[in-house]
Amino acid sequence: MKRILVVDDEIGIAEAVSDLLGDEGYVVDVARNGEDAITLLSAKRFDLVLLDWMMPITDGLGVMTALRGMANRKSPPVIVMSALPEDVVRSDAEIAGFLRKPFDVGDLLRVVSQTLPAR
Amino acid sequence: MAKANKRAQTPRHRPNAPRERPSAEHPAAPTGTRVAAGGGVPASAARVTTGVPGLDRVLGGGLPAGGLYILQGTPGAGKTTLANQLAFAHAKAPGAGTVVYLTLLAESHERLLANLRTMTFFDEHALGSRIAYVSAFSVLESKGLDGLLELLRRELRRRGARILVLDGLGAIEDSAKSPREVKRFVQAVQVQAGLLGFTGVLVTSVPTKLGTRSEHTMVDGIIELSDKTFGNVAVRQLEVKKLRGSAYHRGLHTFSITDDGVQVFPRIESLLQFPSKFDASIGRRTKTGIGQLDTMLHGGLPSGSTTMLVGPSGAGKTVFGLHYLSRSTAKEPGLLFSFYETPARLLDKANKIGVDLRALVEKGHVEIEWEPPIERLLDDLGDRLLTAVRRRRVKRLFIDGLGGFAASAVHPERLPAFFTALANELRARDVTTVYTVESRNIVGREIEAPLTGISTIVENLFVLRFIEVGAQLHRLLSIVKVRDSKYECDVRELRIGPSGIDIARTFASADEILTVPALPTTVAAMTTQSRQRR
Repeated sequence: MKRILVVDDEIGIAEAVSDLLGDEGYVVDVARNGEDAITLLSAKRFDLVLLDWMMPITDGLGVMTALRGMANRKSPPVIVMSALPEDVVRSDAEIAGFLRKPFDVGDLLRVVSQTLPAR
Repeated sequence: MAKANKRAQTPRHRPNAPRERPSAEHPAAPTGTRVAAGGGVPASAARVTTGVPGLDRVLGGGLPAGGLYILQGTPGAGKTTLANQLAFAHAKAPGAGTVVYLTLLAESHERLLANLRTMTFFDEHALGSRIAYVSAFSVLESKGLDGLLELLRRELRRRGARILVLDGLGAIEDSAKSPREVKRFVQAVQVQAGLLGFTGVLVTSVPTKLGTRSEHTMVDGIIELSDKTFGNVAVRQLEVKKLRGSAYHRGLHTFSITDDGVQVFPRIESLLQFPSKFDASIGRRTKTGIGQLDTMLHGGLPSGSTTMLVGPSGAGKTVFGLHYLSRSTAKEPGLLFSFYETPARLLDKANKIGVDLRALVEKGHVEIEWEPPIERLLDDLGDRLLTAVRRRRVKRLFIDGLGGFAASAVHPERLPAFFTALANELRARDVTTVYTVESRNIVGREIEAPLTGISTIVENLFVLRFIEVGAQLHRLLSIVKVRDSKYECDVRELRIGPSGIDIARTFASADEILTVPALPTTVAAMTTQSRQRR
């Protein structure tokens, strides 16, 4: 069973995305900020990370920098969720997928399944 | 990175809406002018039609799709009727997706449906497949807001719903421990609306038990229904208090509830702040149907103008209007918008002056719309008038009794703006309008019109008077004003006979009448009483 980490400081979005992915059979953890995300990524192995880009204190770029620094393991693919244009995010970081906010359930499941094809 | 424009990140918010294009009916305004179709409300995002006549116009085209809206009002104001009307309208639209109507009411669905079955919008076949009524009262009682949210999400996703109606937001407030919990619930529903692609309507009563509604700050729009009495008359009113991402017609709009459901009548002066078109008839003339009057007017009334005919009861105002309508043709259709006299009486009256109004009606050249002004809504009347004008592309309009509009106004201070907007729109549609206003005094040299504040719409002003000379009453006609046109301004005697109105060719007879000292009836009556006392 694939495990996904959803990171978003807007808890409503994080929980809604988590519920929808749960319906699809994924095991989902939720982090409400960048710090919690780094802690969870250090402690558990994830097959995919859905990451909000604009968060206070430690933003998406901060989480990705920390993730790349975890040299002892293979980094999971990261899908960024943001209202920013995709090229702006991609110019800062190498990401596996992008979800432009606002997105709907169809966009979410399509990008997740493209990035994580085999369960 | 700084947290910028976080609101725009929420999944439900969809910016960059397409704008409405001008149409043949509403051509684009020339550069440098401000004329907007439908009163200056620009179109914005993709819209969900409410299925409530008039409401989409108030909302600037419907509810912006994907938003969450509060529909609130006092008990009996019509919230549940409106919400169900929206649900059935959506269910009838081809390919529109299903509706989940989630109730948190103690009232059973059987009772709710029994009440709805009397409405013409109700469709038995839509139940179940296209509209799912889901009772969530017990889930809320047993599992709280989290349980309710879970039920809502599962039902909406399972049914692929595009509309959610949650009837009973008050029950959520009762169940929540704090306004913060309600706010959190509303935010969660908003997020679901964005992700699952539905538009939500939360129905609730006012006022709230928790005081200030925290959820008001979060939702995308608030529509409030109320029912107020003015004297002995009860009037239903609707107000859009907030609508994100869209211009809308602010302020109170009246509405009615009939077997057809809710119908909203947007305030005419708000809807028609700017007329839908430009004047098209400058320089042309429209015959009055009275030969001598057309001569005095140097060809007729300026086309597209508004003429006020003031005079006492019996002076010949309606007869004047019947002459005017007698010139109606297929190319120049006429409309008689009557408040007081019934169609049968008008046909009979026309017949007596040699105007075959019945034949004109049968040919479709004239339509008679009778609107008794008893407990009517001003904007309903305005809407009926404009609808009748648009439907038959009316060019000759005779409104018999402008006071009928005034009698239907619960806020008389609106009348000047109402009439101005109406007149502007009629002018833009190349309608030459004649309307009558009854003066207070029956006989005399002075005329007192009871309606105030309408001078701005009067382009042409004709006055009819009774003058007493000895034992005889004479009718006199004065053309007081004609817009930007030459006219004969001398007073003429006017007679009504079997052939209708006959206007004297010269002022001589009027001059003779007016040079004889005459006493108005009231003065004459006082003098008589005084003599009797002596």
